[in-house]
Amino acid sequence: MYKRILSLVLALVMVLSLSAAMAEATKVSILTNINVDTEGTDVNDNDYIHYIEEKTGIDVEFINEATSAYYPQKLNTIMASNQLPDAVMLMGDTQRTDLARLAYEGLLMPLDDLLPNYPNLMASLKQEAWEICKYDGKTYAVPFQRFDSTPYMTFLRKDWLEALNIDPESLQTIDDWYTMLKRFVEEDPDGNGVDDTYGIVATTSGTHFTNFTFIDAFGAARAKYVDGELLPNFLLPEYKEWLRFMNKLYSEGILDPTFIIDSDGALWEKVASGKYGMFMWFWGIQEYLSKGCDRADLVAVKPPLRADGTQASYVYSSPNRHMMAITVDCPNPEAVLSMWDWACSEEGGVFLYAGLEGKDYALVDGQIVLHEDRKGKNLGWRQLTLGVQQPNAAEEPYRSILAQSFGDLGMEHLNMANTYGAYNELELFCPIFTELSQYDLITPVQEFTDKVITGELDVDAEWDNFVKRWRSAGGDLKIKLATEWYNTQFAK
Amino acid sequence: MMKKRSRSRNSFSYRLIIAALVFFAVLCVIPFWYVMVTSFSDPQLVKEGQFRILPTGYSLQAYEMLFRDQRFFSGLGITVFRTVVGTSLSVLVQTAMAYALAKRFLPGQALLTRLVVFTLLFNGGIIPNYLVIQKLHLLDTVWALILPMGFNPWNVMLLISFFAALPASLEESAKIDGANDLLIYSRIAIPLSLPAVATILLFIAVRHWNELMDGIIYIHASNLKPMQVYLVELVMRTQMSSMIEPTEQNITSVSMQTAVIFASCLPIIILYPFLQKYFVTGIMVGAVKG
Repeated sequence: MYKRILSLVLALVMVLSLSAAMAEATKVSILTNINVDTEGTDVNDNDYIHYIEEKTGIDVEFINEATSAYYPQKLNTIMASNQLPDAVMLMGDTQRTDLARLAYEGLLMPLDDLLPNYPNLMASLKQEAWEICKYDGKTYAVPFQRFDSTPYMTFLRKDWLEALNIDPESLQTIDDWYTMLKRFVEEDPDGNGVDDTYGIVATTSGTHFTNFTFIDAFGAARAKYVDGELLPNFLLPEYKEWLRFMNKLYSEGILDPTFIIDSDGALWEKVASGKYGMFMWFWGIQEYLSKGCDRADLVAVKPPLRADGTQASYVYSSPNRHMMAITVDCPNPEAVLSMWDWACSEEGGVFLYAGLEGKDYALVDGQIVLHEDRKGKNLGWRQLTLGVQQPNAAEEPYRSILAQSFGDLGMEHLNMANTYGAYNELELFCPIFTELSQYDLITPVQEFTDKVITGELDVDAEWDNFVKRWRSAGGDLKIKLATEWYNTQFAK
Repeated sequence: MMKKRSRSRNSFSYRLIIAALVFFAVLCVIPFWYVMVTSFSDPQLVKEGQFRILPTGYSLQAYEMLFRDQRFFSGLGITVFRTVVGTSLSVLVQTAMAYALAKRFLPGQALLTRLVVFTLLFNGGIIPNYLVIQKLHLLDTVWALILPMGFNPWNVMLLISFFAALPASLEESAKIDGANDLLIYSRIAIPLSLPAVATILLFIAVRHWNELMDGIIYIHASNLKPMQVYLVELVMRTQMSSMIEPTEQNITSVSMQTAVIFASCLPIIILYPFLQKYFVTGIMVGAVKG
């Protein structure tokens, strides 16, 4: 009898320890769109993912669909099935509407009750980053912040400034900028004796509309509360003024005449050709550097002043790169959150930005020294999977790690981008209304903007018409809903 | 006099036609040539936008990177497997079905044919298809790429018209000689319809080789993805770079993309001339009614 009990107890202990061993690595599946160079390794089997498992005890399995253009389709199909992954990545221009739709359909888990248990996560993420992950007052996703929260920067050709004897510090008002651009076109800054230079090279496409250097100086970059209504920026009279100015630049040959049809590829051909004096892009300008051009040939400049003398900003769409939402079927949301919590710790941060000790960097006297041939390698993968935190680029260890990747001048440009960047906050924090999903409120604005800048439409004659048409095609509903939201937030 | 009027090899119009045909042939080759030359050029020079008729700074770097990536080989393996197995299976299923439906005495033949035509016009769409694949436990297996493509109503309709045109007396004589239906199908109907079968085979094979969406939707594991998915990923990678982060320093170069495209086109380019003679005959299917 005694023996039998003993053997039973032993068997029980064995089973328990076995299951404990099995439970050691919690399995988590995440649907992602990771389309970066993994150096030939499988997205689920490499040194980095093994390190994450070792550190957090979580065995992540990425259901990765790297063909970016088809990702929304894959996301929708999987979310329509009855087998949801534990978490899903929401990305691109549609991430907020996707979040609203999936939350509305009850497929996402509200995280508000869980989040306070994750101190690193709460401390590292800015309030505005969280705001964007909300639907109907509840948080449904964890924001993955850009480490450069506002990436836009305007660059000028250094040799042209020197040839024309222009001090970039002297650029203050819009008129100063205009005079400079006019001289770029008329005074042959490249000195070849031929009239073949332009002021601005740009492209036009959705969020990457790169003509935005002046828009905030005209006060036309942000939504505004006017006469009892919260109006989007493109309905403001200030936007009309900006359009008039852009049309002037275009008709005087300052703005590249083919900007309307140029692809991003064509843009970089033109920048490298040396015939264009100014462009606006992400401060990292990898495309420019990859053409064999040198960052030191450019001067980064702060935005122009507004008419009232205050400093304008470069206004970007969102502080988040993408977000990750946990689905209702996830049995263990704590595990997923604890992984991202770890990513916000200093250990996680060093892993994010420097990689693995030995493989990517060496510790020399306690200092992280990146291996020359590993700089920038695998960073995209780590950013997309764990890039939750925004490191303080001004403090160690991040300052020196980032400086090794970008160089001192690159860091200067990063700091400028952070200093002079801003968001269209009222538009950003305004919730997404599912009622609006049937309307296209963006394309008509882009079309009108392009047509006015290129002079196809006369802004004074067509403006009222444009406003009226936009309002009648769903715009009035948007303004009504946005104004109601505004009143609950800011009234009284 | 007569001789002069007929088109001789030296006549102006003959030369004009030859010149025009050569011109169009060159036009067709240019994209392939561009892709090939770029893939063999020095990646740095390609990035700087230099392109010549011959490779600038001959380099195999892109191919080294390509062959380093195990996903290219796993993708190629999957694609070859699905093409070979999938095509054989589809041809078998479709010819057998068409042969049966071509028999007017088959009970319910009219209804079955109508059902086939119905699927030609209407289908469930991506999500219902996904649910079917999921419930059959085919997700994440190569069979999810093969089985759904096994039946194609359009091909079956083509084959039905071909089989129906075979003289009934042929079959009768075979029957008198003691052949059963299976034997007639395999020894008489198929060999006589070889141009049609070869055309269908080519349709299916090329579709298997090029099909992209099923690999995206039904396959989760990256080592089971067919090659086309990998190709599209590579082509899209450069477009993503600036949106992610300014930190990714080795943006996949155009050289890499062209190398993959060229390497993946090569098998089909080599195979095509051998199948082409069937292809041309096959296009005549249904053109003459007997």
